[in-house]
Amino acid sequence: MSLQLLDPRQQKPDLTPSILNETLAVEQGGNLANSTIQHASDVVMWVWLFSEIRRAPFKAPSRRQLELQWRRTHKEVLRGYLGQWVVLQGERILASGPSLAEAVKQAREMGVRVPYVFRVEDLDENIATIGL
Amino acid sequence: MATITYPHDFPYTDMGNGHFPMLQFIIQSPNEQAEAIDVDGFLDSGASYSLFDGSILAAIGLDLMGGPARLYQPVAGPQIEARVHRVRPAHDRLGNFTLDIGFSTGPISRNLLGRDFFDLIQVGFREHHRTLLIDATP
Repeated sequence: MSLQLLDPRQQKPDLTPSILNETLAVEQGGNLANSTIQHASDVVMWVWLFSEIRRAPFKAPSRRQLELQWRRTHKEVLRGYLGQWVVLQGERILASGPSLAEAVKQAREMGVRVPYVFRVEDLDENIATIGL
Repeated sequence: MATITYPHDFPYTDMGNGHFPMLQFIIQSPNEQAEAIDVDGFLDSGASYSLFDGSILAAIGLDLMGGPARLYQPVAGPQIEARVHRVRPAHDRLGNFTLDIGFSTGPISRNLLGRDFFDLIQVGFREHHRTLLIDATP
C-alpha cells in the first residue's frame, strides 16, 4: 500500500475548517444551511474562530453530555442492545443493529448529519477493563 | 523541572461500570465532502498506536482493506489485525487533528487513542480526581 504514514513529530496543528465547525454552529443555535453558506463565504473567519477555540481555556462540559448521561441512567435499556451498534441522539435511540453502516444510514435518513454511535458493552461492575 | 499549565480539563466519564478518560471525536475522512460520525475515544497510554473499530470506516465512506496492515499485540491472546487510514478526528474544544489510525478488521469493544495521539498534545491524568488535563499542543 502507498500510504506514507505521518511522523507525529512533523505534524502541525490542523486549523482547517471541518465538519465540526458546522456541527458547532448548529448546536449553538444556527442552522446547517446558514452555517454552510458562511463556511463557504468566509473561510478565513472560520479558521480564526477555530484557532481561538483551540487556545481558549474552557471549563464547560464538552458535547454529548446529554447522551452520556442517558447512557449512565439507562443501563437496563442498553442491556437489550448488547453487542450492537446504537445511534443515540439526545435521549432517543434512532437506530441500532449489528451493522454500524446500516445504523448510520438509517440515522442519516432521519436527517442526522453527524450521528453519535457506540457499541454496547457489557457493563458488569465485576469486570475490570483494560485497553484491548 | 517543567511546569505545565493545562488549558483544558475534562472529568472522567462515568460509564456505569467505572470512570474512564474518554473524549468524543467526530471522525471524518480526509475528503472534505465525506460523511462523518461522532464516536468515543478512550485515552490509553498503554497503546503505542491508536486503534478504532473498523466498522467506523464504512460509515464514513472509506474502504477498510484499502489501507496498509498493522498488527496490535494485546497483553494476552492473539494479535489484532488492523488497516491504517489517515483520518481527521475533531474535538469541539481541542480542535482538529490528522492521525493515521489503525482500524480493526474485526470487532473491538472500544476505540483507543494511543501514544501517537498523545504525541500531538500534552496530557495529564489526575486519577484520584477523575480528571483529564490536556493542552492541545505538542
